[in-house]
Amino acid sequence: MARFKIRRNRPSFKEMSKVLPAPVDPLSFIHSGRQGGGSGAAREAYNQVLGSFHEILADVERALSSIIERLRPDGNISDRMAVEANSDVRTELARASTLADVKRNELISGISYRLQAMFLQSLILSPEQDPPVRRWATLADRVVQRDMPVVSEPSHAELDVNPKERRKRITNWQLETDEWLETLCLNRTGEVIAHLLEEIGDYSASWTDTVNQLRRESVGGGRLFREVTDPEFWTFDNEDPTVKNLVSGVQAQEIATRILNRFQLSNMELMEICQWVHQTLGGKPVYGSDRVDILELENLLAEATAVKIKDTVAIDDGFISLISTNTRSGEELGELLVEMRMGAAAMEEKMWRVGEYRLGHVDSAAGVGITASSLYDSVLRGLGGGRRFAAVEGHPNNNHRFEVQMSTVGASLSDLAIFRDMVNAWYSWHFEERRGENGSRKARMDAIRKESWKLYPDIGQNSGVRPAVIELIDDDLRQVWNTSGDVALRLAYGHLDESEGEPVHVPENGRARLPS
Amino acid sequence: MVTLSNDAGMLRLNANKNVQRVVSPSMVMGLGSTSCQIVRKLEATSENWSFEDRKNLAFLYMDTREATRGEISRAARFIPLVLPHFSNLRDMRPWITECVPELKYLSLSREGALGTLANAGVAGRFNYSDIRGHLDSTIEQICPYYEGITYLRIHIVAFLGGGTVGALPVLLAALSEVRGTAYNFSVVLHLLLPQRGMSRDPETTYPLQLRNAYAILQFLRSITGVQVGRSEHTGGDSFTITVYPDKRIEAIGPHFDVCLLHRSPKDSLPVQRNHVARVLEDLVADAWGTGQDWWARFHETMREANNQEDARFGSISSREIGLLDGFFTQTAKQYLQNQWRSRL
Repeated sequence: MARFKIRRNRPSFKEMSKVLPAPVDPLSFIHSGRQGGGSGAAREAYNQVLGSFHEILADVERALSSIIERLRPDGNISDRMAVEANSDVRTELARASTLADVKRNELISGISYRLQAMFLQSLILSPEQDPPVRRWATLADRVVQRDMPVVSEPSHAELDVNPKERRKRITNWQLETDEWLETLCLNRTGEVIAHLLEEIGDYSASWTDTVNQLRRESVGGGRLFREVTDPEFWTFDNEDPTVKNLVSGVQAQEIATRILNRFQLSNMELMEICQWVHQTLGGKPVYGSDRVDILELENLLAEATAVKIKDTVAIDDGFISLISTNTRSGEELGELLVEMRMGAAAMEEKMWRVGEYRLGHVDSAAGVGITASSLYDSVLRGLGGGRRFAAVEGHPNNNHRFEVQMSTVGASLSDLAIFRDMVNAWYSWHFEERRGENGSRKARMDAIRKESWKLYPDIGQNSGVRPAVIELIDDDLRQVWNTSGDVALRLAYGHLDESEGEPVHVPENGRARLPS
Repeated sequence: MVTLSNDAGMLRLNANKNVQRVVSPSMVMGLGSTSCQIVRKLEATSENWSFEDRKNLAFLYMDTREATRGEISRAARFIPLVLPHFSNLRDMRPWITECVPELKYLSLSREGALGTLANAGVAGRFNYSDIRGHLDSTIEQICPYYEGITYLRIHIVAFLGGGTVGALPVLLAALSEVRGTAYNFSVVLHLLLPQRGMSRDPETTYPLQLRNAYAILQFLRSITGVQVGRSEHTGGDSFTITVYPDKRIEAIGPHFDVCLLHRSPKDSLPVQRNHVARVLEDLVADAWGTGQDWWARFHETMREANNQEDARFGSISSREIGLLDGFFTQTAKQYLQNQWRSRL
C-alpha cells in the first residue's frame, strides 16, 4: 500500500523554479567582480548552480505532469493505464537522474578549467594578491545531502476510486515526484559545491607554495633572475646551423628591454596565454598535489607570452628601427646580407664542381621591413655581386628574419662534388671485391650478375631500365677515364655486361683503353 | 648558451594566419624513415598556417619500417611497404623476379629495407594498389574535382643512400598512371645525399650509400630520356614495371620537373632534418617570401634554358638570420621576472 502522507516544509521543484535564476553561465560567479563573498553573494552563487539543474530538468518535470494528467479524476482508469503511468514515471525519473549527472560532471569540469585559468592569470597579473577564490569557502554551509524521497507506485485498485479520492491521491503522487526532483537538484548542487570547495582548498594551498617559489627565483640570486640578467643566456642557437640569430648578449638584452617598455598584455591575450598553457599541459593541473613542476610552468608561460610579444614587434618598419642601434645600421645590415650570400655560395660550392652544363641560378633574398629607400639600396648593393638576385622583398607582416637562397637548376650530375666518389663506390662494389676470388673473367662476371639484383631498382631484362642505366654508367666511366682518376685503372678488370662491347685492355703503359 | 628545442623551433606560433602561403595545391611525400621525419616536421610547422593553406596541403608517408607509423601523427596517411609472410607468396611471379631472381633472396624484415634497393622495389610492387589508392584520394582531397582544380605540385623526399628509395620507380610509375587521368601536376624530387660523417660506419656503410645513390641517380637520368653512348638503350623516358598480382604498368614520362639534391650543412641527423624541412617549407609556400620568388625565377630560368643535356638536377642553399624564437622566449622570461620581482 503506497503512502500518500506529505511532510511539511518539503522542497518543491515547481516552487523553486519560479524563484531561481536561469543563468547563461552558471559558473560565472567564480571570477565575477563581486567582492566580499558574504551570505548574499554565496546565496546567489548557490542559486546559479541550482538554477542550472532546474533548467536541465524542466523538460522532465513537464513530462511527469503530462503523465499524471492523463489519469483524470472523472474518467475511467483501466489496469493497463495505471501500469503504463507507473512505468512512464519511473522512466522519467531515471532520465532526470541521468541528465543531472551529466550536468554535474559538466560543471565539475568547468570549475576545474576556470580555476586553472584563474590561477595562471593571477600568477601573471596579480601575484601579490590573495587568491580571490577563498571567498567562496562560505558556500560550505549550503552543502546538504538529503535522502532521496520515495515515490509511490499506486496500483489500479488505489486509483480506481471515487473522483474526489482519486484527485487527492493523484495530487499527492505529483507532489512526491516534485519533491523527488527538487531533492535530486539539491543533492547534485551539493556535490558540485563540494567539488568546488575541494578545488579551492588545493588552489589556496598551492598558491602560497607557488608564489613563494617564484619570489625566491625572481629576486637577486634566484635562478630566473640569473637567466634574465646574464648575457650568456641571451645567445641562441638553432639546430640548423644555417639559421643564426641577429642579436645576442647585451645587445639582445637592450632590445628586449625596448620591446618590453611598450608591451602590455590585454585581457584577451591573457586568456589566450592561459588557454594555450592549459592545452599544452594536456590535463595536468597547475595546482593541487600532482601539479606541474614550477620550472615547466614557468617555461610554458614564457613560451606563450613570447608569442604575444612577438606579435607586437611584427611591424615592418618597427622591426628595423628596433634592431637599429646606431646610424650605420643600414650599412651593417647590407654587410650582413653579403655575408649570408657568401655563406650560401660556399654551401653551393660544396655541392657542385664548376662544370660545363650548370644552366642557371635561381637566387633570391627576402627580408622584412626593407622599405626605406636608402636601406633598400645598400642591401641590394650588398647582394648584387656577380649574380642576379631577385629584389629584396619584405615578407608579409610578421617574419623577423632575413633569408638568402642560392640555388642551381639544370646541372649535370657529373658536376656533383661527390660524383667521382659515387662512381668509385659503385665500381668497387662490382669489381674490386671480386678480383681475388675469381680467376677467370667469366666467373667474375657470373659473380657480379648473381649479386647485381641487390643494387638495381629494376632488373627486368626486356622491359626495365637496367640496360639504359648500364649504358649511362658506361658513359660516366668514359668521362671519368678521360679526366684521369683512380677508377681508370680498375677498368682493366672488367665490364659489367659483356654484350656491351669489347673488354677493356690494359696496354703496356699501364693505362686502360675502353672499347670504341 | 641556449639551444632551441625541436618544439621551440617548430613553434612559429606568431605566424600570421591570414597570410596566404600556399597557392598551388601540394602533396608532400616522405619515402623512408629519414624523409618521413622531415615531412613530419614540415607538417607540424604547417599546423600554424591558415586554414586555406592547410586545405591546399596533404602529406603522405611511406616506409619499409612499420615503426615509422608511430613517429608520425595518427591522422597522417601512412603506407607501410611491407610484405606478407613468405609462405603466402608464390615464387617466380614477375613482380618479384623483376627485382630479385628468386623469392629466397629476399630478406625484407619489418625493420627497413636494409640498404637493399630491391627489397623496397618488391615491397613497392606488392603495395602498388595501396599507393594508387592513397594517391587518388589525397589528390582528390586537395584538388576537389568539383572545384575545377586540376593542377597540383608533388614533392617527394627520399634519402639516396638508403634502401627504401628503391621504391621510387614504383612511386613514379603510380604517379604516371595518375597523371594519365584528369590531373596535371609537376613533380619535384628532393633527394638527400649521403654524407660520410652521418654514416654509422664511414668505412663500410658510406661507400654502400654512395653506390645506392649512384644507381638511383642513374635511374633518374635514364628516365629523363637522355641519349648517351651508342643510345642502344637510352633515349626513352618510359619504363615498364609489373606490380602485384600481375599487372603491367607502362610509366610514361616526363616523370619529374626538377630533382633537388640536398646536402646537410653539418653531419648530423637533426641538422639535416631541420635544414631540409626549412628549404622544403620555402618551396611549398609558393605564394610567400623566398618560395614565391624561387618559383617565379625557376620558371623563368627553365623557359630560357636551351640545354640539350639531361640536366634536370639542382640544389638549394639557404641561410637565414633574424630574431629567433628563443629571443622572444627569453624576453618573455624577462617580462615575467619583472612582474614577479616588482610585485612579490
